[in-house]
Amino acid sequence: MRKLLLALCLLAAVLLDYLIFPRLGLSRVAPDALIALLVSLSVLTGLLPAVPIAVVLGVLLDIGFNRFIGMSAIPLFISALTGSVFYGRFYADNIVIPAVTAAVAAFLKELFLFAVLLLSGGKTSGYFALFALHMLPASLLTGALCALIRLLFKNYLLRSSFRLDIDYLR
Amino acid sequence: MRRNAPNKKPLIITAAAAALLLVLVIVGAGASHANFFENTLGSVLAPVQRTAASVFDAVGGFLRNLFNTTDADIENAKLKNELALKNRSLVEMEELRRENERLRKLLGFAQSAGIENGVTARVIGRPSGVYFRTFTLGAGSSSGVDVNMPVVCADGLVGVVIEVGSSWCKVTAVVDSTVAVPVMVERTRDTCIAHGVLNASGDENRMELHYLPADRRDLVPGDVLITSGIGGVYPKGIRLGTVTEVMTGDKSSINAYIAPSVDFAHLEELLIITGGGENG
Repeated sequence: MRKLLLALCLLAAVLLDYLIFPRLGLSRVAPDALIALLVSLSVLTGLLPAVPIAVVLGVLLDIGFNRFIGMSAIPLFISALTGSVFYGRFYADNIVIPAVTAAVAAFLKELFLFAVLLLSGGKTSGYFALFALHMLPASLLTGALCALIRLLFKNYLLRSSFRLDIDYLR
Repeated sequence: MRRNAPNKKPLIITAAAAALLLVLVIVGAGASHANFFENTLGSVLAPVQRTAASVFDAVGGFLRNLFNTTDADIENAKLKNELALKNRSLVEMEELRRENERLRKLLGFAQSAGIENGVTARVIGRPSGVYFRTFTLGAGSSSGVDVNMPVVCADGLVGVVIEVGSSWCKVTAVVDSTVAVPVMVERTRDTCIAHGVLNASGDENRMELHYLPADRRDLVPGDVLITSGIGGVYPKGIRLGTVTEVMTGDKSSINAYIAPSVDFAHLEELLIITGGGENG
C-alpha cells in the first residue's frame, strides 16, 4: 500500500511538472514537484530508495521530454543526495529543514540548467531578471511545495513502519 | 563478539547509480541519432506520451469550451481564426507573386517553392521550464524523419529536428535561445539572422534580429520575416514572424525584436518537411 502511494505520488509529480504546469503556462515560475517529493523522501529514508528512483525516473524523463540525458536526472540525483544528508539528524516532524533543502536543491537545478544553456551557446537577456523573476520564485515555491507534502503526508511519513516497509531495497 | 558493521549497501547503490548516469550522459552527449538504450526506452515511452497528450488535449479542449460559451467569445474565436487564415493567404500570395517575378527574370528556373513531402506528427512532449524549448513529436526514422529537417505548422516555422528515434523525434523550437535562423525581410529582401533568446523579464516567445546590413536598415514594425533558405536547413519562404520593435542605436547589436507567428504554447499537429522546398 505504501509502495503504491509512493508510486502514485511520483506519477502525480511527473504529471504536474511535465503536463499540467506547461499546459497551464506556468513553466516560467512553477515549483518542481519531483524535487519536492524526492527531497521529502530522502530526508526521511536516506539514500535508498530516493537515489535509484531519482536516476531511473530522471533518465526516463530526459528521453521522453528533454534535450539531453542528464537534464532531469542529474538535478534529481543531486536533490536526493542533498536530502539524504539530513537523514536521521532531526525530528521527523520537522518541516523547515526539508523545505529549505528542497528550495536549495531547486536552486541548484536552476543553476545547473542555466550553465548547460550557456555552454550550449544560448543567448539570454537580463541575468538579474532571470534570477529574480524565475530562479528565486521557482526555488521558493519548490520549498513551499515540499513543506506542503510534509504536512499532507505527515502521519504517513511519521510511521516508522514506512522505513521497515522499504527496507527490502537496502 | 562481532560489531555491527555500517551498512554500505546504500553507498554502493548510489555510486552505481552515479556511474550509470555518468555513462549515459557521456554516451548521449552530442549524438543526433538515439542509441539503442535511448531508442528502446523512447519507443516504449512514445505511446504512453501520445496517450497522455491526447487525454490532456481532450480535457483542455473540454475546459476551454466550458468557459468559452458566450456568443461573443465564440464569434471572437471564429473571427480570429478567419483573420489568421487570411493573413497567411496574403503572405503566401505576396511571396508567390514575388517568386513569380524572380522566376520570370531568371529564365530556366522553373521549379516553384513548396513543400513536396512531409510527415504530420503530434506533439507528445512539451518543454518543462524556461531554459530549453524542445518538443517531442510522435514520428521518427521509421516515417522518414531525419536530423535537421525543418518543422512547420499552419502559422509558420516551428523549429528543426535535433534527435531521432524510431518512432519519435525531438524538435528544437526557433524561439530556443540556442537556435539561429537565416531570414529575409519580405518587403526589402534584406537577409539577416533571427535568434531565439532566453528573456526572463518579458515575453518568452520574443526573438532578436541580428546582422542586418548597416546601410539597409529601413525596417518598420510590422515587417514580415520569412526564411531566406541560406544554410540549407530551412526552405525559403516560410513565415517566421513580424517585427515588433526596431532598434535604432548603433551600439546595440540587436537590429529589431520579432514576434514569432507561431503560438508555441498551443502546438498540437505539426508537419515535418522531409523533402521539397527550394533547399529541401
